[in-house]
Amino acid sequence: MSAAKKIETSLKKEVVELPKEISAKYLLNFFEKIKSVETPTELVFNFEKTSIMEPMSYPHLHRIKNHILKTGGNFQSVHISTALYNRLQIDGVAGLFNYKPQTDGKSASFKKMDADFLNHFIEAAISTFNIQANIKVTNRPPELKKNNELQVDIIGVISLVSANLEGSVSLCFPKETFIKVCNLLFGETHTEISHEIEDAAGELLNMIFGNAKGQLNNKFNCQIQKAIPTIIYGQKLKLKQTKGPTIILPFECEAGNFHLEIEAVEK
Amino acid sequence: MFNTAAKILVIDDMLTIRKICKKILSDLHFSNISEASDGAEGWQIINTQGPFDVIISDWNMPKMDGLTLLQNLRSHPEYSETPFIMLTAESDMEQVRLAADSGVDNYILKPFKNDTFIAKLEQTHKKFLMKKAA
Repeated sequence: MSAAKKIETSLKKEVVELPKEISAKYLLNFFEKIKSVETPTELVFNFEKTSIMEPMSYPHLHRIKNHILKTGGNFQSVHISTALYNRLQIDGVAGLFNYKPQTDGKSASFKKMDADFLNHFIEAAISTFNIQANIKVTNRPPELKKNNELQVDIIGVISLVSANLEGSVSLCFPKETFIKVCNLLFGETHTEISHEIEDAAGELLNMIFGNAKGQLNNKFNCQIQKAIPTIIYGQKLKLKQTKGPTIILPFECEAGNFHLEIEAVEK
Repeated sequence: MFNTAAKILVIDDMLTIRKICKKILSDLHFSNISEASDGAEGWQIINTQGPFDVIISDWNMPKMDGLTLLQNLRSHPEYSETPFIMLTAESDMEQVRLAADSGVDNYILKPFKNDTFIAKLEQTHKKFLMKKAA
């Protein structure tokens, strides 16, 4: 066994379960607690519950990591979600975390909608509503669309074109749910779907699609193309996909129920 | 902190995002906020009402996208230094690199918390002042 290995195994290990949202204040408090500790420690930050990290917290993480390394310890991060890791990469700070993202070699191989593919859209929908509108959303089990009887009042639609797949992604709301979502999103009171709020259906879909696309492209090289959403608004709309089988991803939240419809067939 | 007299241009084809940005900026007491619904309209406003102190733009828009607008700005003698923040749902690393190579000053990924928006605006503003002082 090498000398370096001997030192590593003698370190005191401390696993820190991080919160859902990491604020600058949280990491500053953490730094204040550990800055006087000189015992070499193997500090493991567990990001399993974390979906948001404030950019203002990065300098404090840098100070924590520097202190740990200066005292002869080790620092590493575990369980960073793909969505959060994407954000850290974009902010140019991913290197700070000593984290190796896992890949499973599925490169460009999605030729059908499997659970892994759909999970990226579910994750993106939950985080979009949580981050942008502060709405906690839960998902219900996916269903295969059997007929076109699901009636909604406003739909955002975006085309889905990747290396192997083509189809569409639609975000569908009943009127009441959509109005309540908009009231929470804008901090205003609307009672009808008007020009002022109707494109929120497109923008929320744009965020869900953009995030799922980024994760699938970064992780699996799916080569999903950029697209601009369109909005369909009316009363009791029925959406009919024409390319192939469609999966419904239902969600519920304090504003009511809504769903995503994903249609994707092999090219 | 911020100079609230700064001229800010918000460009997005979605009214939703323009509304959210304007609300955050108004809450910070910025009073000089202009808006455009695509890159082409943004470019026209820059040429008639510019220069702006900060431009916050979406990437995917009809008529002219945010990247083309950024490239136009960077190749223009008068606007080449204008602080430019890309506010987009594009998180593919290739796209982010492309924006960085084209001279974007900061990148805000949609969805975003107000705090993130403010922190990145502040970062961009500081970077610009430091560049100006150098």
